[in-house]
Amino acid sequence: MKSLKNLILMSFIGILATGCSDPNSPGLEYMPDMYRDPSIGTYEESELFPDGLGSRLPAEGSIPRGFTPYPYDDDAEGYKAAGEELKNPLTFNEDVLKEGKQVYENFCIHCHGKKGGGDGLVPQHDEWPGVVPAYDSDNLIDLPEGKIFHSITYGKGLMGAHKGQISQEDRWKLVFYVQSLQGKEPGQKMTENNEANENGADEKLESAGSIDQTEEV
Amino acid sequence: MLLSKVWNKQAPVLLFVAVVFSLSSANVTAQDGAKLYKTHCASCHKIDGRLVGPALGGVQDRWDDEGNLVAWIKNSQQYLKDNPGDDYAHGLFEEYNKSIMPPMPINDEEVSAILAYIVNPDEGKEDAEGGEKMVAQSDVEQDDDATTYWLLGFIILLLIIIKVLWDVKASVKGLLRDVKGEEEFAALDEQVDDEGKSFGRALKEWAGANKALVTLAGVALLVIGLSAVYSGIMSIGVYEGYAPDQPIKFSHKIHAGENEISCVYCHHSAEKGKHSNIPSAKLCMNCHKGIQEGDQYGKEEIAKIYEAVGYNPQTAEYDGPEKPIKWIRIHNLPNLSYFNHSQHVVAGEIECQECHGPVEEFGYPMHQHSSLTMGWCINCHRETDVKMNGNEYYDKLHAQLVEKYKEEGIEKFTVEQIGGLECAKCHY
Repeated sequence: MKSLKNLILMSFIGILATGCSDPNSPGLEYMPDMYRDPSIGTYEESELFPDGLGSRLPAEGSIPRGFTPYPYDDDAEGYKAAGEELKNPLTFNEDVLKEGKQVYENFCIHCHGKKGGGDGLVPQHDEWPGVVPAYDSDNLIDLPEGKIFHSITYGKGLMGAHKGQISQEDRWKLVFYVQSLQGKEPGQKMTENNEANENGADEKLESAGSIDQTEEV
Repeated sequence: MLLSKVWNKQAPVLLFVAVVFSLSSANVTAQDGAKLYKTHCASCHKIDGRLVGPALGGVQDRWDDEGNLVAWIKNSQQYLKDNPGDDYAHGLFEEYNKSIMPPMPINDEEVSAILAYIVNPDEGKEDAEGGEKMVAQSDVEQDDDATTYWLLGFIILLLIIIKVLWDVKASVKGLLRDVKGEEEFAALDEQVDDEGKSFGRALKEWAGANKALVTLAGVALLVIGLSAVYSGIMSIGVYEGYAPDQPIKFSHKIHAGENEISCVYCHHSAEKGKHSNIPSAKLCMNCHKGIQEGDQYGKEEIAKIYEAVGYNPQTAEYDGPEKPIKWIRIHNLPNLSYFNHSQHVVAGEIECQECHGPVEEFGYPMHQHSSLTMGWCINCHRETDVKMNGNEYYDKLHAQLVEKYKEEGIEKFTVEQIGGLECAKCHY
């Protein structure tokens, strides 16, 4: 009976020693002054600004180096104009297609499905209101590359804008891969285009090649 | 003009056709309508509110001529061209930012099936899946209720037992007082109290008789205490297992696990820069504009996203003020050390899970998997072979290293061997 009491006492102390951590507290810090310098950390709040946000947007109208602003507006006219005028500045090859596939798997596959059939896991939920159209459906099969790019940039229907997540260069790689999922051969089409406008395309490629910054949503 | 005249002549015929179809269409059921609606309309329309396009509830009341409505549904652009005088249709096109509803590959019969479904959307639903779902849900609720009742019953039973025992004690005391008389009872009561007080003395006597056991217990207590103190000291500044409450009950298991959404879909800057970003609430809207209700918390948690971006799900418009979500940061290196995500993810080709653990299995709340201490970093830099094969980033360096270590015949190199333990790599 009494050894039992001791056992209880011991386990009680053990629990006291180990179980007093609060999940909402990260614990003690040895030298907070060195851990946290006075500069504003990423996403940190700051009293310097009236809205309390430490992360600031670039001044309006500023353009990152090497970045080409997208000239078309997010409306029906912009969509139409992009379809008619916008051409893929990248030269097609197997490597670019592979990189496009990687981008597709990161940013598209969960809705559009492995083969672009619109059968990704997300729209299969009951809560999802509609269906995702297949890339090779009647409405989409003849979509010009400019419209594909425009739709990735600004979104279309229930699909949101992806310009903040995918850089322009990656979006063009993606266009190649989407076309390959449509059963088209983007490579052949592109060689024709390049022959027609070789110098112009190369210049564009150079500027696109140095795009690192993404537009903020 | 000519076209529109022809159109106007045809309109009554079309209307007649539509009416005939809607009357004679015994083979078009509400279920077909539901299916057609989901395939062709639901991506952009809701019945009871705006989504991409207008709400479809009561659409027939808004159009004077059902034939025109059918034509509008089948090919809205063609309809606008044919009917330059239809102010309502043109107004609608302007109101929705001139976004084009694509031509619908459906016939008149199917259009009327969809319209019939819109008038009475519940009819098809219950038959199809609603009934089954509702049964399942009420079962779950009953289970919950049953548990509560059991618990309540158990507590009441316990209370009754306590009351009975209390009464028994009181009546025994009363009986004793009756038998022994008032004075003798008071003496007895004191004696009982004395025995209680002598427990400490008894313990001392017992300890004297069992010295070995007491010593053992003392040593054990000391070891436990010291190890607790030691682990307490060692956990200073270590956030391993840190799992704070977050403003939204976000589950990585649902998003990255069940829906297989890639990590970089949301944390896209992990491949591009020093930081792996916390996605903005606008990014959540890429999916949650459509998915407005979750399995676990219903609309409650998703509504917090709408509040953050100022989105009104009824009007499908961003009309409110934006309120940033105050996520609690979990992974936090001290400012005295430098860490770059893209360096590890792109050049090092390290999977997110190698440091963050199997996040796709973590529910809410998210926790820190690794210790992120300096020792942990160093160990990995000592043991990990840099993935140099087929990694463009290292082509030149790899060739140099192979040349340098030709005599040893080493072809694989750890991070340490390419300078990964230099102090100034991380501290500067």
